[in-house]
Amino acid sequence: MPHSIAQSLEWGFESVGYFAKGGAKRLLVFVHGFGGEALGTWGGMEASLVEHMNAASSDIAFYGYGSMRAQPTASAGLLRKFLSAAAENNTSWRRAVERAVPGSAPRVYDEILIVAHSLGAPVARRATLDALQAGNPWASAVRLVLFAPAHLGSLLHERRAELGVVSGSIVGTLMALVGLRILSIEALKPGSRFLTLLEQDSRDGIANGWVDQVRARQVIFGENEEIVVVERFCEDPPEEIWPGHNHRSVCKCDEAKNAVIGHLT
Amino acid sequence: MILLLQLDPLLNEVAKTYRLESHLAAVRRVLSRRSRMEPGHVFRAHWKNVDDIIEQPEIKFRVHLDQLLGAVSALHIGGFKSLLTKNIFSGDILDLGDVLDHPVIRNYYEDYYPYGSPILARESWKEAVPARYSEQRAFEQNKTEWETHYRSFLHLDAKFTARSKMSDFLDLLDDYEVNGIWLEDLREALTKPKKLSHFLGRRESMQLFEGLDAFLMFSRELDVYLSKLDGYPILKGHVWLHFAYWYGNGGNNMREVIEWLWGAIEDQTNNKGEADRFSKLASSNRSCIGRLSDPLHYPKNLLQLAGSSLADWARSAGLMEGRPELRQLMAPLS
Repeated sequence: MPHSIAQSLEWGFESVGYFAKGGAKRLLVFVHGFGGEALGTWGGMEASLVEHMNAASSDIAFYGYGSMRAQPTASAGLLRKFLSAAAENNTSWRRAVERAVPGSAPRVYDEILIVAHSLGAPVARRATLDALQAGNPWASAVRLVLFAPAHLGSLLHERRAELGVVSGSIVGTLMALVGLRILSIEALKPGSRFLTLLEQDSRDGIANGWVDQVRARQVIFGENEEIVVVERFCEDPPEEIWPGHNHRSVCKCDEAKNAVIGHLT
Repeated sequence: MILLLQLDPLLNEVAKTYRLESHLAAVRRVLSRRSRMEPGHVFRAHWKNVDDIIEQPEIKFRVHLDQLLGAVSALHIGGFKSLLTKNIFSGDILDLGDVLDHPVIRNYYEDYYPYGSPILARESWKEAVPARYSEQRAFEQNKTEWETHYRSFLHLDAKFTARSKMSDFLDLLDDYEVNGIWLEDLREALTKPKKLSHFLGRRESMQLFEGLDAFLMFSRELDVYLSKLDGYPILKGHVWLHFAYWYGNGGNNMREVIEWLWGAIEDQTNNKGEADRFSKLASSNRSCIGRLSDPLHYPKNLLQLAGSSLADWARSAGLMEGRPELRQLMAPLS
């Protein structure tokens, strides 16, 4: 097996990593969406990746965060902290690598490929933009592949009570019914300040030459997408529409696994 | 390094990832004759005395023991057969087998906090398990897909042990007070609509709800994983046993929590139509927890084949209450 066994990561929540035994030139990070969890959103993607030779030189992280209640900007800040730790090979990351692959050379990533779903997409993009604006050297290595991204908003603010059903979260249902503010949904209301700033900063980033980092490499929606707005964001490539898939299934299917592996050549 | 020399590469990785040596060293410090700590006090049952408060550094050593037991379980599931490097140490330094057999440690995982996995591991290492169990275990481990399934278990366990919102909720389920809140407070909030908004509006209690949510999501993943292991009854049973403290011993509590949760949702919906929309979600959670907390579902074959080794644990964990068929299943063959 080219990768270590699964390693608990100390960043985010329920985050799990797999480290390449023969050294890694790429960091591959999966970021889930509403109510999703670090591994469950991706339908067993890890089993396909750790056995595939294309992924042999990639360290893989399934990053989990508090998607239900936290504001997306805050989630983006924490994601950026994790990316910094890994990309800058700080003490904690070195310790994680050493525990998984003893005697391994320090990691220097040529590419940081972020694969994100739904809410995870604007969170990942915000983290990238903030890193570029802050002058983090690793930010230039970021590339994005997005499944059902919520860049132009979600429809859930109109159907709050559906949140639990959509995300599979029984607690989410209760929160919506009791009338609790769910900050992640509020931030994804079309035209919200968070989304407006995201688009503005994305355009500025591209104008400043950060094209490869800000413009997604690939954008995919399911034909039956029912949760987020299906429209082209900024200068992203035209979206691919996969027949027969909806918001949740689009990132769990075999086509999703193949699409990710295709970016690892 | 002595423990790791005889393991195969995969189990060597598991031992390192689970920090077997450092947990073992920490527990040994408590058990050592030179220790100033009284092992029976450090590893006592906190629930025996309602006023008992476990302080640091006792908590630290208890966490080491819990993680050592988890490591033993993961290794046992992975086929670790015996500790081949016994008696390397001299004096009062104990090896893994001696630690697991120490009376204070046995009380901890047999009586105070019943956990079947280290019992089965210990009995296996002593070759004191039924032959039919060992044969089936060896048969499964030689099958092509066994290692893939074992690695999938390791993925799940890595998630379970990572920094998580689940941990506060699990402490609550385990009858600990968390930020001034007990399980009874959760029941009150969920069964009395007027209290619910106030409860959810507090940061500390909201964190517990998020932990509950995370635990339910993890449960669904575990349920899906176990449902796909039909050709591997021992592996399936081993993995169930690994998490059984929460689903076996804690199964009753979890079933109650689901009922409180669903009751709260019904109270909050305005009409039957709205309630019906959510009933599928509640039903799937109920079924999932129902399967995971039923010792006659996923672990049935394991409990039948290893019955005599685990019968005392099943009794201590309360699994046999109201289940005469389980008692019969685990009875030694005459």
